[in-house]
Amino acid sequence: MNEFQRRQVKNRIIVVILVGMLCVYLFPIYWMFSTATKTKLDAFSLPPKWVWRPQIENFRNVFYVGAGGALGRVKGIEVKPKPSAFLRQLGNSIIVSFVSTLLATFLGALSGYVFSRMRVRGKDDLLFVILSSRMLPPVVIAIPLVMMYRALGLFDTLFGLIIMYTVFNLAFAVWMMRSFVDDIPIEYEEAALVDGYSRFQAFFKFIFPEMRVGMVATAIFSLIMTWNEFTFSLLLTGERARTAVPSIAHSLGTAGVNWGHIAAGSFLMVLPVVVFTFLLGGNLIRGFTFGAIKE
Amino acid sequence: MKRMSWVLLVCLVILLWGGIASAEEVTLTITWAAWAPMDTLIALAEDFTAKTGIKVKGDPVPWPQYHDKVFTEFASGKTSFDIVLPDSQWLGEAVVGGHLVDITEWFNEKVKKEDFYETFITSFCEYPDGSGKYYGIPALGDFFGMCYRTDLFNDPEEKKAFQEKYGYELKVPETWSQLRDIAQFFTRPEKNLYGVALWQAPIPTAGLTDEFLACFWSFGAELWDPGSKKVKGYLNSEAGKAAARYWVDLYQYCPPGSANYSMDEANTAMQQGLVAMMGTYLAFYPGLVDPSFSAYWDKIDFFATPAEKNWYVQLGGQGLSISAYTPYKKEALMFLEWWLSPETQWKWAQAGMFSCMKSIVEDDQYLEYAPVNKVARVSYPHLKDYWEIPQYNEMGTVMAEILNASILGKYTPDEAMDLIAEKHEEILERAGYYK
Amino acid sequence: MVGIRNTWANRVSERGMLYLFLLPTFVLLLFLVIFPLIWSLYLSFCQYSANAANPPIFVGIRNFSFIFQQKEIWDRFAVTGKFVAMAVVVEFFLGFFIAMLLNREFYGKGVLTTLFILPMMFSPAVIGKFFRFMMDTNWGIINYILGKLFGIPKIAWTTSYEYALPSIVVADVWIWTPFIVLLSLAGLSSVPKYLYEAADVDRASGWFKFRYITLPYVAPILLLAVLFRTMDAFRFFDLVYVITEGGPGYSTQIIPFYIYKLAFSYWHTGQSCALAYVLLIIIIALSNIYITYLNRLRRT
Repeated sequence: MNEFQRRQVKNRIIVVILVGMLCVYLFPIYWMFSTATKTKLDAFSLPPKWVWRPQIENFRNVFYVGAGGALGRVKGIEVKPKPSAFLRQLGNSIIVSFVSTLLATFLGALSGYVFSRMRVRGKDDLLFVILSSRMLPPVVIAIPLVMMYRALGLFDTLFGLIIMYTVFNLAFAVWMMRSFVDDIPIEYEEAALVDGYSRFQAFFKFIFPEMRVGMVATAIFSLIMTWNEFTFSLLLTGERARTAVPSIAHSLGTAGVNWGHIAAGSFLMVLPVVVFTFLLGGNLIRGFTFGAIKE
Repeated sequence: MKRMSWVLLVCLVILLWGGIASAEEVTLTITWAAWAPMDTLIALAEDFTAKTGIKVKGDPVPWPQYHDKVFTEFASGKTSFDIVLPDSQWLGEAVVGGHLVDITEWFNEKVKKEDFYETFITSFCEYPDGSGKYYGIPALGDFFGMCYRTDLFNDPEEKKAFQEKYGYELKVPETWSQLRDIAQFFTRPEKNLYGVALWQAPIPTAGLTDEFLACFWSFGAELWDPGSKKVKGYLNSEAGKAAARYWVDLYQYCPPGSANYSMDEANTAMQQGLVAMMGTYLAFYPGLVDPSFSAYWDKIDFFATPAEKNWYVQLGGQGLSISAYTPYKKEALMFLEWWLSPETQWKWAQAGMFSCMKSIVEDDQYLEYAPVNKVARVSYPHLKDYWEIPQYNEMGTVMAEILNASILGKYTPDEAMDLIAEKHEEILERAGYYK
Repeated sequence: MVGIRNTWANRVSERGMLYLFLLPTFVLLLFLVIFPLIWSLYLSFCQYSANAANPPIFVGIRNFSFIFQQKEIWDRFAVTGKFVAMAVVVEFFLGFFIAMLLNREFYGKGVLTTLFILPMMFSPAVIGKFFRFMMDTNWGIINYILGKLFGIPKIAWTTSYEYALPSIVVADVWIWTPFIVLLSLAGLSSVPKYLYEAADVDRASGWFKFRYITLPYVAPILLLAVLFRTMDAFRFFDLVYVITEGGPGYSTQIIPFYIYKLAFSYWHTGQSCALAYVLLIIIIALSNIYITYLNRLRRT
């Protein structure tokens, strides 16, 4: 066996190990799926049922019964299954996360450009102020925010949640976009300026399109963060503007823990993110490192 | 560029959807916990809509979040609900904050107090007690009770074995000491069966404090001196410590890992046949007798929390109150009036929900509506509720956390009670009760 | 050429553009971060309850001294530190190990890598709830498998002093190990191939290659990853909130969770703001290390 073959064999063994690890690692996802497609009683049975007839009742219930799922036998009167708040909350999630992602990405692109290319007084301090908003534990500003939202009538409005999430992602977007602009050759603008464009025009005409890749990467990451955000949604919304995550996390029916319901809800929640991520592809590493690392 | 325009189109659609979603009509919104009584209330409210044309919508919140959710909205000065069903002990907290509409005048005119059990009036409606100021009307007369597996209790073999071992007949326990014997008798880890599931979670209002207090009072202890608000010598009296010792000892007959049990887990333990007995607020009963949730739905019956030296039952339940921030106060009062009508009250009872009305509870027909109603009737004269002051949440949490640590062996029961008394006095001191 | 010059966009000066571009960002930050921060600093010196109608009363440093007089607060700081340390260390080693294995050419590498990062897309609050189900003492699948395969008796994962914190750590590790994998992969791919080839010519040992070629290249990125995880672990309490609710006793009440309870369950607004500031100072100290480091990294 020569060197090359030995390496081939070693690689193959490692891939087998990796696949084995992956099976263990992704077991919770499999278990979630199986719980979502089992009946309430089967979900608890031990030894677990490895073969079962998949049913979609749990998925349907996410949309139909109230968050409690507690439709017990109520005698005398008919309790009709009503559309649950989930569809509206999912709608809220979509509106809030997409709009705030777009806003944060766009504003981040503008500021990122300035911080990368222009001379700004106290640049490092300003950048640190921006960064500090990312380092902030949400609970630190939660109390004044709730009071402020109450005074301004922003409490439980989609708009209030959108601007909060925009800020929530802004720090990250600015730093990301700054690092992407760093990578765009300065000659692009210089050529445009020579042609008589103003800096402003040159930015929108030549630089902005070049930042596309960076914006997609920023948007994906912002979307994941916003979509899954829990604390602010719990605290700043009531019944109208509530997003889906806090309610899925707590949709424990009081008729007994309804795991199938939770599992089905989690699945529905993660699907859009997965689809969006894989459709747009993109540069996840930069996203998670704040643009500090280039791929 | 093509992709960009797609993205823009999608955004436009989303924004349009947002516009449609936020267009709303005038409707009364009721918030309550997400459970069967809420579903029933909303279903019943269709009658109200038929009579008045005012629509009613329910906003169910899962129990563990219910308090924080409602009070965060209260503190924000704008509530998404018009009518709320505050848990009995919240009343002080909500009234002090000015979050509930004072309905005293309307109350005196429309409500006949003697129609209801007095405990419900003082707990759900009046604050401070004896002040004659009213903020709500009675709705759900909930209380802590217990359930057991009839197939185990009625098995002749089991009965014989129990008689031999303990010298008396196996039946529904009347004292906490008997409950301990029965729990011990049925604890069979090799068969995955345990004596009793109790709420043990270290959280207030949905955890250990509620269930422990029924036992605590029945052992003859008191939380404090209601006048001077002194805790030491009351909570950690010999009787209080005996209750704590009993409670910690009883944990060995609870399922392993049940130290975080609250309503959901306790219900599940019963539904899956893990335990012979279980304690909970009995308004949670529908899930226990529902075949799609419960493997033992036809083998479960209910009984009152036992006595010991005294007999006290922990009060639960909620009244109907109006949010101070609603623009629809008039409509909300109409709803309250509709709720009080005997017709609605009977329908509520027929749906298997606890009524607060004496005439209904004492009617023998009531017993047929739900298997828990017989327990309600015997429990109501023994109801007792804990601190109604705004600091109840902190005091309840301290109690739950320390006792939870104690059942897991961190403190001895005596140490735990001393510690709780000390912490309670600190809390009351800071709140200015000793000035 | 005339077309370019005659529009309003052509007359926007560079200064104007700078303000135009930065203004929205800073207005939002000022409004939603800086202002609440100052307000909460003020409240941290006040006796105040957001639930009651009374206005804040200035009490000096009483909130801070109250916080530090409670002996339980040190337990809470300790458990916070323990949680962060345990989570970050496990994530670090596991993540780096997986990245080392993934760092080679083979068929299906892309798919495998993608599958490994899947957990990051779940909401921690939701996945935490599900872990609680899997770790249930009596009908959790984890106890069942451990019992069947190794004969281990039932473990009370989320409700015993020994295992409650590790249970939260397991869930945190599950969600965030992929983060370390991603970063490590980026670091590993930045190592120039010719260095390894040169080492092969010299017949250097695998350990030597790892120690003297791989590690120096990857170390800065790994440190960065660790800092990021550390800060995030300090910030969020979703997992604790859904897995143990702070129990047994108060043993897993990490600081951010306790702040939440102080603020929204007990309504000690002033004290919660004070504690929040203490936490903030700790995090700023940590993030300063990060900034210093980042700047050094950018220079080299």
